[in-house]
Amino acid sequence: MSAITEKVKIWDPFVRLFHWTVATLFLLDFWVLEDGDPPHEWAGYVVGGLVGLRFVWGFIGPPNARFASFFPTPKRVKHHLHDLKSKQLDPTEGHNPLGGAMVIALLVMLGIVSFSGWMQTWDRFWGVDWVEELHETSANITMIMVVIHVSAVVLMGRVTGIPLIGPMLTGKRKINR
Amino acid sequence: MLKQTLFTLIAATSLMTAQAALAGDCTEEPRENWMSELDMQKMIVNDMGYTIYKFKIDDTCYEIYGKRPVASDDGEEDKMEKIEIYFNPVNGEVVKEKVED
Repeated sequence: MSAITEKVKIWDPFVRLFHWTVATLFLLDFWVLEDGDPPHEWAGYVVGGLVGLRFVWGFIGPPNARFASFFPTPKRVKHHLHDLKSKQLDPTEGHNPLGGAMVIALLVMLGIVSFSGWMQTWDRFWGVDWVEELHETSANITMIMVVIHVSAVVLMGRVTGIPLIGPMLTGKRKINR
Repeated sequence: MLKQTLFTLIAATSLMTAQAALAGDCTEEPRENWMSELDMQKMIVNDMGYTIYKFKIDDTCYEIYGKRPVASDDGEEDKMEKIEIYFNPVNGEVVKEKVED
């Protein structure tokens, strides 16, 4: 048993800024900011822009931010489930494969929500039902995913004993070596 | 522990889904007292000078997506702006108006 603790960098500043900004704006748009009013639209455009930037960052950012490091291949998922069972988890990792799957799904959904919202303002789709319904349905699905995401983070934090929320705020995780 | 978590999850998500944009109340009167859809549309087009892209009944409102001329600064060619308007279906009054620029 070692008494040495170390603060390991997990999440870079852009990932953290992205996470909390998008979470706040999505929740505001869903619950508070009235549909179609300028604040709702502007929050949506900021979310859309940030999702675009996050997509690029997923290819050029630091290792934990890259899709390549957390994309859920069958092999990785199997390996992760094995690690969970045997309680051999790596506290220096960013997203595990299942977390990674949720992240990718959320990015896709947020992209659809913000793009469909923007489409509603176009001449050619002004008042068109399917665009409105796509926007509403994708927003609902995203909200359900958010509930699952938050629950999973809380649950996994407890099950593994690895701090999850702190590192997304400060960027760092304390590790015992 | 897992059972409670799952139950909470299901309960929470069932509360989470968005309502359609709440038109709110444009009137409390029953349908028999409403203007006919045709009369409402005539009012919108003839009296107000708007074009209608879509006309619908939203809860207790008549709602349109349409266009109207931008209040022009003098001699400029007619530009149109997109509008979304909720009307009181009994007397045709505008209850809520949104303009898209």
